[in-house]
Amino acid sequence: MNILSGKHIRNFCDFLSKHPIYMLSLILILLPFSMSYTSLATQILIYAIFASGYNILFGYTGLVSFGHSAYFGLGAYGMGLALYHFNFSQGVAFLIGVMLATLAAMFFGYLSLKTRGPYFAMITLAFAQALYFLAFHSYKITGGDDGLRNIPMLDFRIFGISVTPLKPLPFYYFVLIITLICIVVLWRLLNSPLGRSLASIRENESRALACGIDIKGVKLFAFVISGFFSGLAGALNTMFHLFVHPESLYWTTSGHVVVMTLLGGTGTFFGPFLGAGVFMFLQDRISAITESWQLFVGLLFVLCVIFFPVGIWGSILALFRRITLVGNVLSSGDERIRS
Amino acid sequence: MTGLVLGGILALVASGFVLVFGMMDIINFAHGIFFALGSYFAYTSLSLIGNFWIALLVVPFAVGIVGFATEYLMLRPLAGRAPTYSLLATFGFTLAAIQAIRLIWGKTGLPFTTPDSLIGATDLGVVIFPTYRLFVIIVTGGIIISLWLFIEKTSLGSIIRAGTADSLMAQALGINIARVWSLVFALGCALAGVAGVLAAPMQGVYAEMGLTIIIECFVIVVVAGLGSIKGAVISSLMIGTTVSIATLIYSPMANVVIFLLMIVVLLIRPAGLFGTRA
Amino acid sequence: MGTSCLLETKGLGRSFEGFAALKGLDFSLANGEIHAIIGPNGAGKTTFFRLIFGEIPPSSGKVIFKGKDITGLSPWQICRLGIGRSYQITNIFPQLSIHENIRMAVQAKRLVYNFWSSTDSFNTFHEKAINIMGEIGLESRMGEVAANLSHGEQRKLEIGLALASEPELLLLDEPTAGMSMDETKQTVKLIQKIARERTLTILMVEHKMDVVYAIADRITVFHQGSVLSTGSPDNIRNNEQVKSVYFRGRKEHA
Repeated sequence: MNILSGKHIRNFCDFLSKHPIYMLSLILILLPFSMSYTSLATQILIYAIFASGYNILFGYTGLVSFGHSAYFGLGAYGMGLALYHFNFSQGVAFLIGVMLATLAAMFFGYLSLKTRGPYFAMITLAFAQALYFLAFHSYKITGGDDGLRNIPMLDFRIFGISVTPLKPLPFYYFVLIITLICIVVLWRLLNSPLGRSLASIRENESRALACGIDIKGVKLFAFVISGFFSGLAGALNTMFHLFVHPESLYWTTSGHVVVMTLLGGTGTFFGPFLGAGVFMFLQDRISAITESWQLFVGLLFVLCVIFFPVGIWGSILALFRRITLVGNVLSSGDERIRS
Repeated sequence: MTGLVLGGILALVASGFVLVFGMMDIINFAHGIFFALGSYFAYTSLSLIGNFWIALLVVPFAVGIVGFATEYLMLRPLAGRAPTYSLLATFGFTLAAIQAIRLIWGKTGLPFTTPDSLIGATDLGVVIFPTYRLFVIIVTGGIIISLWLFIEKTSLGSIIRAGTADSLMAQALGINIARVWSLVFALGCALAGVAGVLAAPMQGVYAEMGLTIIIECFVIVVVAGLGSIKGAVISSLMIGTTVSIATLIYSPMANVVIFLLMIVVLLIRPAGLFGTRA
Repeated sequence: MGTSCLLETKGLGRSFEGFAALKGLDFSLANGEIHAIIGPNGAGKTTFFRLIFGEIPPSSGKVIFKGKDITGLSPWQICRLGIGRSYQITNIFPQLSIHENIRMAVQAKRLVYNFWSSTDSFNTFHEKAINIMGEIGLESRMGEVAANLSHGEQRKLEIGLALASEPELLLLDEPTAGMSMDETKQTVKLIQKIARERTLTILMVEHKMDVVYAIADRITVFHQGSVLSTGSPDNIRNNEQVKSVYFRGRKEHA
């Protein structure tokens, strides 16, 4: 039986396109076993959420922000500070982190959206740097350059398994469950009428306005949701590392999430996941060889912008569109959201 | 008066930035890197040659050449695309460049001493002012005036102005736009480079200065509104003065003042104080 | 066919840095009529449209739609009140398919703030989109990406987008811009069909006199920011003042 017969491919791709989320879930469930160490997989999940959140604003709505580290960092610090200084429970601290990031997104978003294009990018960067500056100099509260250490750890038992960052595999699946919830929420969001209208703003803002879309409101919404997921990723990061460093607010972190999203494929659902995976994998390998990982990131960035603007997943989709038989089916799964 | 010093430096950087944007519709996020290169090249040439004055003359050219190469290699391929691309590309370039600077010159900041002939203070009658800073004010003022004269009065300058207004039209008139663009870009970078040389003795030389200055540059541009170099210059002086005053009152607050100013302007007049372009 | 006034402007004016593009204009549009605005370039026609649709604020005067003062409202609010707009320079969503273009406009008026339900489940939007695509004659190409369409097809899509929000008033800005003779004829038929089948009032800016005479119930001539003359096509055709100002040196298109 020829496994590669057209019919089999068609059936398989049919299934995939109808249930792309299941496919992604399957990949993510198996992910730790393909990595040299599980914590890499966990980090990938966290950054995938960050990148997905960023993608809502960058890829879907078409707004370039250079300051998303602000929300990641606020989520991280929010949770960290709540645990360290106030001894809240893990759940409450998590919520505090996420809320802090979301509220900041409302505030900064409102101000930043008064500007357009490059100004917008710069304002977002400026806000993030201001926060960095604040965190860096508030030694008593945030530990300054040393970072916030000795953060209380998550530790609970479920079905006899203890979930704590000290145990990589159970912790991975814990993070995975949260990730899957995020995926479902994102999927529904991006497929909803509101989600679709994001694309209209990206494609032609003035026409969207003329068709009755409140673009100011929708942009702010996109900004806030984007901040929400970035903050969530930040809080998870704190849970994972038990440590928060001002670098999470630093512009390089913003730069990394842009690269991940760009590399994976802006404006596609799966792009950020792919981008986060490839990025972390590369970082892991290259940092082992040299200290100048940043140099590589920057170059990768530039090359992506010039030669590869649709990213890996974007290129795959484009390629599939040419192979019509497989293309119509597989790409339509993602097209439903993309277009 | 210290405000004039800071303002002058910022004005140089901002002018270069607005020049490039006005002419080529390129948001050069990496503009700060050329500022940093100015300082770093000056450091290197100083340790090689030992003469500040030579450095002051030569370094801007060197920076201009790097700028020329950057434009040719990285920005030319992006010519037809939306400005977002050049923004992103120069952002990535900045990431890489700061790391490259660290690799070449080391991670720690470098010391840069004030040139001997300019050490000390001058008595201006009303106030005694550090000689070097006085020198900076004079030089930056001189350069800005020369720049203005160049753009307003020379034929090359009018080409630049024509290109700024309508590059398509200028091309139709047979002006080799690509060459002019490269020149303008190099000029913009050179301006940043000069500012870098001048700033080195005052604030030291460190890898991150490329980022710090570009953020300040952008705040200036937001406050001024992207349109004219004049607006950028005035705005730079304003901000320079404000920051200096703030530093006198409470040093760490200085940086915050910039952000506050930006927020205020955003709320009141999003188009900027002198904004002419959307 | 009512005699009531659907759209009115009172003393509407707009200046740009000292230049008065539009001067204290009084205008009224009756319910159900097809009204054409003609005039030389620079007469203020597009500025007029932009003021009505809220794209720019007026320097003076007000705009009243269905008895309600809509001056100062944002275009999206005006769209939801029942005015649809098509643009002189094609303004569509280039990377979306025709279907997505229309559906986006259809759903925009109803519920944008729904962020949970799947868009595909809203059959009414889908059906309405299909209807409109049928009306404008692009149904067979609905999966096609808008950027790949010919100019004429894009202009049709342009009109479709304006229709999608189910407007009572349609503002058409040079709908036949850049079209060949054939395409123009088709568009004229389309506009006539739309006007017939929906209860629609149409205000359009046009340069092609044959189009104007074929469709318009009434014509207004703009000149240097003011109304020069208003009347039926015959009135305007025979108006000496209009001829001298507008057709000065030009041969009238038959």
